[in-house]
Amino acid sequence: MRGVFKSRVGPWLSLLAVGVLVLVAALPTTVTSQARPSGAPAELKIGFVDFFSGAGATFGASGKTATEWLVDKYNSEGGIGGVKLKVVIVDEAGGPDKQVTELRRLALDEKVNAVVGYTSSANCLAIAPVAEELKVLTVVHICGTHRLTEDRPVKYVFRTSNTQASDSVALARYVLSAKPDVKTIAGANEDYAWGRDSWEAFKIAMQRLKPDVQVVGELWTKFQAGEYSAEISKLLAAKPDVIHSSFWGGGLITFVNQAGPRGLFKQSQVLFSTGEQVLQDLKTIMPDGVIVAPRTTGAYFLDPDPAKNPMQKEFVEGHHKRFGRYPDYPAYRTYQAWSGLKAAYEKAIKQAGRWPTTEEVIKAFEGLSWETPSGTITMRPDHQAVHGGIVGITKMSPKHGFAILDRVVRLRADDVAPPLGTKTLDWVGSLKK
Amino acid sequence: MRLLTIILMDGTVFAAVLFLISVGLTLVFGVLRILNVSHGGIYAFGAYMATYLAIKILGAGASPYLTYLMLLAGAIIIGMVTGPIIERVFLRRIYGSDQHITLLLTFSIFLILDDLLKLIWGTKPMFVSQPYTLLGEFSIAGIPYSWYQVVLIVVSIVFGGALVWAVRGTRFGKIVVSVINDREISQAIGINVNRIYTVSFTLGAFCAALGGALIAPTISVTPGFALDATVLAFAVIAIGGMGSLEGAALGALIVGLLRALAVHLLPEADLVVIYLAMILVLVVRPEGLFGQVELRRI
Repeated sequence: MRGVFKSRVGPWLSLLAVGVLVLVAALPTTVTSQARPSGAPAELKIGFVDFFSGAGATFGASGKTATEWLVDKYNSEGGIGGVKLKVVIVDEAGGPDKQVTELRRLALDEKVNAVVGYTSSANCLAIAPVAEELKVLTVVHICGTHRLTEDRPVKYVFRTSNTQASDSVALARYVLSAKPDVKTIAGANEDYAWGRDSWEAFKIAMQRLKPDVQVVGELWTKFQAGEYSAEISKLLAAKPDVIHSSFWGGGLITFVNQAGPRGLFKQSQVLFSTGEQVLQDLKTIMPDGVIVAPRTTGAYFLDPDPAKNPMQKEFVEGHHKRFGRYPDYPAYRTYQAWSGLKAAYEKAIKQAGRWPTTEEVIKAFEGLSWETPSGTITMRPDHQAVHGGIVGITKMSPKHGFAILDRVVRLRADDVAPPLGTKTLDWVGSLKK
Repeated sequence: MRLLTIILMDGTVFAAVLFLISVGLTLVFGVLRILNVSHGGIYAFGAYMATYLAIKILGAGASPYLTYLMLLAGAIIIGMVTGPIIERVFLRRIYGSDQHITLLLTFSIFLILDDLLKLIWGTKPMFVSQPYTLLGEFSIAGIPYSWYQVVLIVVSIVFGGALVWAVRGTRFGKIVVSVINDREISQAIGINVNRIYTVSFTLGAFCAALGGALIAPTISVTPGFALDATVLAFAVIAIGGMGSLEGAALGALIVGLLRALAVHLLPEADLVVIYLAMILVLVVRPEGLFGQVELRRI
């Protein structure tokens, strides 16, 4: 037996030894190509929290693919300051209480250096005080509520993308430039914080920018309801000029599916604040002429033009080649979060001349501007990032097999976000053209 | 008058959907005396399988009319596979246990089924709208509706009628009623009670899968979409009376019409009214409108 063992394993061991030697020989050209600052850890462990089950999994899937693509890219380039990134994936489903426990686990058991993630407003609000208490650098990538950075000052929590109020203001500005004679508006939104806040901000923005606008219907549906027949009938009967909806994911697909054949899109100008995210799924079902946005994100896979923007080209082509899907706005916002964290670390390393403490990274993050495929993102001292966004109108693209954005308008950060120090709702309530 | 017509139409459409979701639940409760939470998982599986088959057949270039056949095929496959497995492997071991054991067990099965869906079909929304759009539209009170919505109403009436006939008018139905009334006596007179349980549960599973398959073309199927439908189905059978087919029909109609009424007149209350109705019924008549008072057996 022993002889057989030896004879079979021996050559493999030799091969392994040769392999190790080859790897060691190759090391200087890869890992140590970037000088490691003194005190650098063996790896930078980062939690990534997003929905991988339940209705929100449609967002989490994009967040995960963007994370995989980007972290692999960073690691192949030497990581951050020569330290490779290691990602610990956590499912965001299960409610705020579970997320608080998960964050404690990430901080105390997994001992992560930072956490990236949180799509749900309820979850980001719940974990923020815990992140402060545990002193965990937390980079929120998608969660939309303005309350995250406005309710109380945050030190360890950053948000690298616009709030949901920006989405509503961007849509209001776009629709008023495309249809200046709007007289009546209606809303069809989900009956929880996201839907309520989105509609409220849109309604106030419309009334501020065009005071004679009348609200002729406010519909509240259950979270991801599967049956919108009565709501569609009501919208058809009310005949508003404009219908605003912040439906998302599967609920949005279902709504378009049910409303399209019944002529809702022909009757009214419909706006979907998250519409860009489902264009690839809806294929030919999404009618032309619907105003859609990637929330207030500064890019989607065709804008800025990948042919003229190398960073956009690399992301779009790399993501599509690896996952068979173009990056959508959750993917772009995930990119913003990871690249922001990396830029903050790199700035802090440079400033400190060694591996920085979390507090030094935080200091470096404040006021930082960094480049992403969706443009330049600037992190304000209040830990809320500001950036511009695009809105467009759907047009079927036979080349892609789904609707793309036509008549794209790029709104500046100043047009869609309150100035530093002004509360979001005060700003929406005092909007000017 | 126009508004009333629209409300009646919307309410009936929603009632048809609710009836298709809840009829299997009430059937299983009637025979097996268990609250089958895994019903929602089978419903989701039916929707996914039907969507998957319909997409496949469309991808193969077949006539879009064949998608209707695929919806039915999806329901049959899922009903025939999940029903016997769940009943024989899991439920058979816990008959006669406390309700909370069956609730926990069937809820676990629901969660497992939901995860299985993701393993098989991933997390991206899947949908096939051809069966919904193929039949065209018509107008009532100036509001366009899809003919497929009428199909849902007709199917739920025919299907409900067929189930009532199967229970009341056939030999199998009489045996089922005998098992419902007294399991031990039925066994004593030579009825294979285990077989009746398997067949009844499989029929309930088929109802769930058929509900999912028929609703699939009107929605996009995503992980977790069945949870709300399951909760609503419980409200429907609580109102109508657990175990009663007529109760499920009436419960669905009440919930459907109340919701349509709320959406048109008081949209903020569209969910509250459903559960208010449920509470009201449970307070006045705890066994539900068509439910029978369970006698305590010594």
